[in-house]
Amino acid sequence: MSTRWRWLVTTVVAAALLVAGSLLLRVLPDDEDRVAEPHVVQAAIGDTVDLRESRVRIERVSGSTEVDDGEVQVSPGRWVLVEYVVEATDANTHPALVETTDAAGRMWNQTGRGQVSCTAGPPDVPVSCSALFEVPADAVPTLRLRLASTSDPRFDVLAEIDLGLTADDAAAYAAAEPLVVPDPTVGDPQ
Amino acid sequence: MPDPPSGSFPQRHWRALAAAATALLALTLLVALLGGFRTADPSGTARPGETLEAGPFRLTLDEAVTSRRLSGVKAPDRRTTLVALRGTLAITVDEPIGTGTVADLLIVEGLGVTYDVYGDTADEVVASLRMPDGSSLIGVGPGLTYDVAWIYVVDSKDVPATLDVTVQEHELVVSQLDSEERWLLPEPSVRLRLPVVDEPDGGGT
Repeated sequence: MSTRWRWLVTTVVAAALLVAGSLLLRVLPDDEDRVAEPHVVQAAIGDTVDLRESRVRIERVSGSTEVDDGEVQVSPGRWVLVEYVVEATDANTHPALVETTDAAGRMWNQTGRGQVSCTAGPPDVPVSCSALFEVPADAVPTLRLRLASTSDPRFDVLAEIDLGLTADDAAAYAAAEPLVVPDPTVGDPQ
Repeated sequence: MPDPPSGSFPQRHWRALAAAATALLALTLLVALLGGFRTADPSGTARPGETLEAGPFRLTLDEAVTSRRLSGVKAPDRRTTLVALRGTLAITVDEPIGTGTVADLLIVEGLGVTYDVYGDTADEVVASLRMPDGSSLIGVGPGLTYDVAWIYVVDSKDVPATLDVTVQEHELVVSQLDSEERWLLPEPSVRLRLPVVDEPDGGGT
């Protein structure tokens, strides 16, 4: 085979590999693959949810239009603070996915002014964590917290926890004292 | 030049392939030099206070002011002052938009030499996006409309009388690598001109 034919064959093989790679991407699981969908566990405040790498329980939910975290931040909507306890099962960890959704399909996470205050504790030692979300007032009555061990929960457990809030809570938050975000603590709360 | 021995790729085919590749390369370079196939011209003009839709944002630009202190930001030294665009900012999608996309929303012309908030000369015009409470806005969540100020540090001797602002819209692009959707490819959408008003007390937003 001449050099030119070898080049031609190499080019064709390279192009074929690119096409094959592109086709392979189409058959691999993606966000719309039902088989890959996370195993959703519904829960409520106070329930302990097994996230495979940790167990999580929501302790309390509070809200306000202001949060005082060194500087006061005023929201045009509501700040919602979710305090929860994490117990790692086998290795130091804490949930990587912490976000809220509402009945309208809107989602809030740590992009923007929201924040998660948590640390990876050792197995079977409770760690007190908190997540702060900034949401519009009309989202408060249907807010659900979503937690998962990894940021991409496909093939994994995804906890959906009803925060149990109402329109009255949203109204009450408008007149509530500024929230203070607690630091994470390792070990049983004092 | 005689053709190579029988069985090899004919010489004339290689010449045709080389010519086609050269033409394709030249066309690619030409398009790239001309700015690509996307148009760079804004589609129209707007008035201050008008609600603007620039995917994924909905915003108003209400006024431009200058002062030495605005929304919790102080001019870093005596040779500098602040110019701020005040308005509102929201998004039209169901998931939060981060700081990178927000930063590409506006192009502001007419500021002259600009500085960062520490008084060092800025390599590019960068705004500090502030809320009325003085905190920084580093992303926008769905359903929330923020009163905001885009604050620029400029030379005190070179405060512009007007600001020419170009609002850019982004395109939702699906990554071929991880199928993630991202707002990229900012493109001029609409322009507006705002007079810069002196605000000695630096009050308000």
